[in-house]
Amino acid sequence: MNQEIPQRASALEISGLVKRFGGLPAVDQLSLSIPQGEFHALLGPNGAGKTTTLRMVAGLLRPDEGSVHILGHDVALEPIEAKRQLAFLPDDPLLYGKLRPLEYLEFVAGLWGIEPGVAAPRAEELLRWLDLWTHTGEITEGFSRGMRQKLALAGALIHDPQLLILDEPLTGLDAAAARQVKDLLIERVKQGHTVILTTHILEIAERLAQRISIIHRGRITAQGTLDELRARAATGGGPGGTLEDVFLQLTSAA
Amino acid sequence: MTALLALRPGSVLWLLRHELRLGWRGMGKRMARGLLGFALAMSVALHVGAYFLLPMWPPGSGQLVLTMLICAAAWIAISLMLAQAILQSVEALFDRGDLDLLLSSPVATHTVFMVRGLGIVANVGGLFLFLLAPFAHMGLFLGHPQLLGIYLAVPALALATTALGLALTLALVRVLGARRARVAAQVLGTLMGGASVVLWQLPNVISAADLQQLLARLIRWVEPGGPLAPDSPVWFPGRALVGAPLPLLTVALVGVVGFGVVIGLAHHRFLAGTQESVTGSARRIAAAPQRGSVRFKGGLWRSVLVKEWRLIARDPQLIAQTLMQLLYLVPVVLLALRGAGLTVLASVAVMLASSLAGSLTWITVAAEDAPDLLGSAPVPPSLLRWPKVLAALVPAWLVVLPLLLVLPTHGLWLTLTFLFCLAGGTVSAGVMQMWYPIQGKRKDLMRRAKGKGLVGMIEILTGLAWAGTAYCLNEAPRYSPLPLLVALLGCGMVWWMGRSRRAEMA
Repeated sequence: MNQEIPQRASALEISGLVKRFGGLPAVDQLSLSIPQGEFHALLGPNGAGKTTTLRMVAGLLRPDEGSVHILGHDVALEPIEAKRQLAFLPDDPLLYGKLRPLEYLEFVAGLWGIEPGVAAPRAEELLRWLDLWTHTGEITEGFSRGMRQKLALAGALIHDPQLLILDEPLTGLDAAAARQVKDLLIERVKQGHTVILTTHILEIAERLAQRISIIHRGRITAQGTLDELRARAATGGGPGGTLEDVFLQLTSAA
Repeated sequence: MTALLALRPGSVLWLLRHELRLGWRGMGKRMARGLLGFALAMSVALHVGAYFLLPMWPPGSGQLVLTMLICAAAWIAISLMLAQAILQSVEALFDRGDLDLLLSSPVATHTVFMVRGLGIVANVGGLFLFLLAPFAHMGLFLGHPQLLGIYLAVPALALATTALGLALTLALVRVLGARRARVAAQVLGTLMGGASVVLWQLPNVISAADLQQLLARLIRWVEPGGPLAPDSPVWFPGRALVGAPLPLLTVALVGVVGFGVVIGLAHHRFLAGTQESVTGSARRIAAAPQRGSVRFKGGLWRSVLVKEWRLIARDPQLIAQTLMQLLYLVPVVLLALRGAGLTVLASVAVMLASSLAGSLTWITVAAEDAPDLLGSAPVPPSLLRWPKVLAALVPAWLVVLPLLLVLPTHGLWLTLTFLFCLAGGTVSAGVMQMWYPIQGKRKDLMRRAKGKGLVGMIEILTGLAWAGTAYCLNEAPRYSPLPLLVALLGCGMVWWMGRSRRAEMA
């Protein structure tokens, strides 16, 4: 991917975010700024606070402290405007098992207030692109995990969001489906949209992301392009090789 | 205890202990303790009851009537057991997440199936054994030692009904496929259970003269030489319960052999059915994809209403429960036809519609399948709740709508009061789900009251109060403010009690 990032208004601006569960901080003074049109990867070990952070960004969890702005809209003060720009795909998206794919997409389009004349052809386009068109007559409870993941992705894209946040989007997908999704995400970034994803497959972050943030114990411990992270790891005495080396060095040092 | 711990891993008893432990822990510590306390108190009460009832055991010819009543009760119990066995077989086949682990382990599938079956037997027969065992214990001291046969007869009946329930469910899977069989079995089991309960109401529904006539005819049938003579096998389940040697032996044999045969012959079907339900994706019903261009209809209210109605219409458990609610109306309709009056019918319809509205609103509001999707949508949550409540109320109204064909012919006041109380009862039931929100899952519909405690009772009381209002407005107007006040107070209490929950979820 192109490593040069033009300066634009922030797609996501997180400032001093704190979330505690039972007194223990899951997210601790986390700040992050992601410009529009960037493919950003959020990495971290299990329990680092990635999902909690994303759920606060999506307005599903109220922060104890700090603020989140999506394209200039404060999630706490202007939740409707903020959510209109956003799509959030959880790691295990729950669909309605008794709905058919088009019925599901029609419902999602209704929630986001998309004109039926715009949503219907977009739904068809997405289902064809994701190889789900031949399954439009089936209810989704019989779908494999990969098919459900793809349908949820179609739901996330039906309103053409400016900011797409995906929590482990490639889990459960076969190689071909994973490739489809990756191509789709790259295409969106090329069109000027912003994509943020968490993944535990470091190779994906290495190949797709323009910038990477490493989150550990609820804080951002490192941020930058892959080269910048390598350099930082090397100055810390680490090997500075692959992203895996860098990741392990930065998370163990933090 | 040491012996239990030393059970050979992978054996039937070892796996059975695992099942029972899961069942016990599944209740939760608090509920298990509460249940244990309640069971102890109940057991003492039952022993006392048995102590006073058994001396009334009639001598000579009176025994015939008593035995006949016991036989009738035994058949109703059998139908309840069978209904329960079918519902539990569905759960064993479709709803248990640990089958992947068990079936991929070196434990024989035959053993897994048998233990699943024995788990159902324990669930199906446990309650009846608990209720009847005090008679066996007291019988020992009061000159009826034959009642110890209860300890053999109840498990044998549970074995037989479980075998039949498993066989029926597996046959449905074979004929209809896993998905449709699940729907059919759930509906069948629920309706059978409901029908058994309705049968208990028979003496209340038919007139005393008709009941006398029916009993006289039955007595003629059961006299020697009649089609239901005392030596008829139809009597065996009831006679086994009172310890008659031949019926007891026969019932025990039928239970053990029936269970053994079903387990032996059908465990391959069990495996196939389980795999079909687990790997549904591999055997999805081929459905024609969309033809022609896609057309959507917009609007938030429409989207939410249509989505909720689709999910309700495609939910077998809900359909079964709705059918059962309708079944409970049957005795009331018969009572009304016998002259109890349409006021009673209208009042019961208000109560049933309120109860159904409560269940459906719980499904649409509390048991939302995709809360993250709705939470991240650019719509205020309060705006989403109202179409969800309406989506739940409309089916409840539709169920009792046929009454409007009859009520206007009996007066405008009756019709208006019915509509007023129907609206009051259903809307109260709906908003109470919003005012005291409890997140749950669709499959927990039947257990939704668990964890609600006082609020669950207030919900029921409020439905009853609206039904009482409908009755009083027509039959005793001067008392009508009382139930109305109770209904409004119930709503107010739920609103007040749910303040902190609503704040948490906001």
